[in-house]
Amino acid sequence: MKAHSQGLERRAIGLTLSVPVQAGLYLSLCGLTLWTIYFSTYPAVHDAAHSLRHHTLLIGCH
Amino acid sequence: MRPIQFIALLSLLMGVLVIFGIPSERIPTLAANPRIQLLTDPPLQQIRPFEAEATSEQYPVKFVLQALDQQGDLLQLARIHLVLQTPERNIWLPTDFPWAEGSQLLELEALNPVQFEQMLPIRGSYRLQITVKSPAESFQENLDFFVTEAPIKYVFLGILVIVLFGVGILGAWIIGDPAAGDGLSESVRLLLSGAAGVAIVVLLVINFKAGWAETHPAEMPISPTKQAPVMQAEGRELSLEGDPSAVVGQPLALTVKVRDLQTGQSLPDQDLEIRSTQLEHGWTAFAYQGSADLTWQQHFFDGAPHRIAARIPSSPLQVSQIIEVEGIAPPLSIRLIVMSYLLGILTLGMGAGFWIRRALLRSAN
Repeated sequence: MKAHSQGLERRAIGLTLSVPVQAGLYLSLCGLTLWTIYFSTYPAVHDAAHSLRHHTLLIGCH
Repeated sequence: MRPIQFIALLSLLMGVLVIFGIPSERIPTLAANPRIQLLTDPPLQQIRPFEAEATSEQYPVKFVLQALDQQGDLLQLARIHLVLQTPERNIWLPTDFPWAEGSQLLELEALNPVQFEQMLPIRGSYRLQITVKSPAESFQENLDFFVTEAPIKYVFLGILVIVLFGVGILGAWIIGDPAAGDGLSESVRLLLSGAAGVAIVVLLVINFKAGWAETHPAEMPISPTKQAPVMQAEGRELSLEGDPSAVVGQPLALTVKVRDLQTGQSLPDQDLEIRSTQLEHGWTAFAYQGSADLTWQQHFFDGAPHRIAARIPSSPLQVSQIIEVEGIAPPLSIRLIVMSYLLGILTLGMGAGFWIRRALLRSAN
């Protein structure tokens, strides 16, 4: 039983640290950061990034 | 007829058309027809769109429209009705004011000649639809002009593309390193992955909450309609009428009236000055100088409070109204399309990073 759960744990760790999962995590984190900076309607972020948004071609603002 | 003779005849005909035909379309040799003359300051080729959050002061474009008769003189007692249309929306290449795209920026009707200033919010092809009505003549004309994008926006986009591509390469370089586990223990790598997961969840929650608040705005108490600003002096009354609140993307109708207090009759011959100023940064969105016989509809493309001020020069008469303009976030479809471009560049960068890493490994082996 213990050996079985250890095997599962090893597989989960292996999967988490695999290149596709790590690449997916990296892409998701970068994508969400980009969305927050350039497109989020969250007022604090919008105000902080307002000038950057208006000065970058293709980025829409209010 | 031999082919060579046919070609020679065709060339001759085309030459005649080029010499006489095309110039007659381009140059309005319509001395016999009334026409519109448009003057702008700066000249049409030098107009740039409004630059929000600019470090330098922003000025609107000055337009002078004159309806001329057959002799080229000013058409008397004519009224000019104009509609200024913004460039059509292109969802694949949006501007920084998406709600200004494909909209009616200004509608104005006043006595000939008409002089006004208007801030042009976006790049692209604008259209002025002009209708002239006078006892002698009535005609319609469309004038198109193109506004080129501010170069600084290309620079910022270029920097963003380079940074995204670089971030993609860097990420793939580290992730694709077969010896990545040698430097850091497995538990540290798991911890970093967990932290990345938590950051993703936090960002998702923040953005979903912001989006939810946008689509379900808190109910605001409806403020009672404010009384139109009115001022009386020297036997005349100046009033400004219009809704004190506006929404980006929708034109707002405004009217200025000057009337004689004794007779109650309107005084359309009075000189009038109107200025619409964005209050956060103090730039002029719209201005008008001319006779008091005026109605207009203005599209407030920037979601910030504006002050509309009207005054009669060389008199104490002046009124003003604050207009609250509600800003609206760009359409989700446009944001998603541009986001896909950015993610595409990042993914390309990652692909390049993996490819470089593999190529180096292959050459090392």
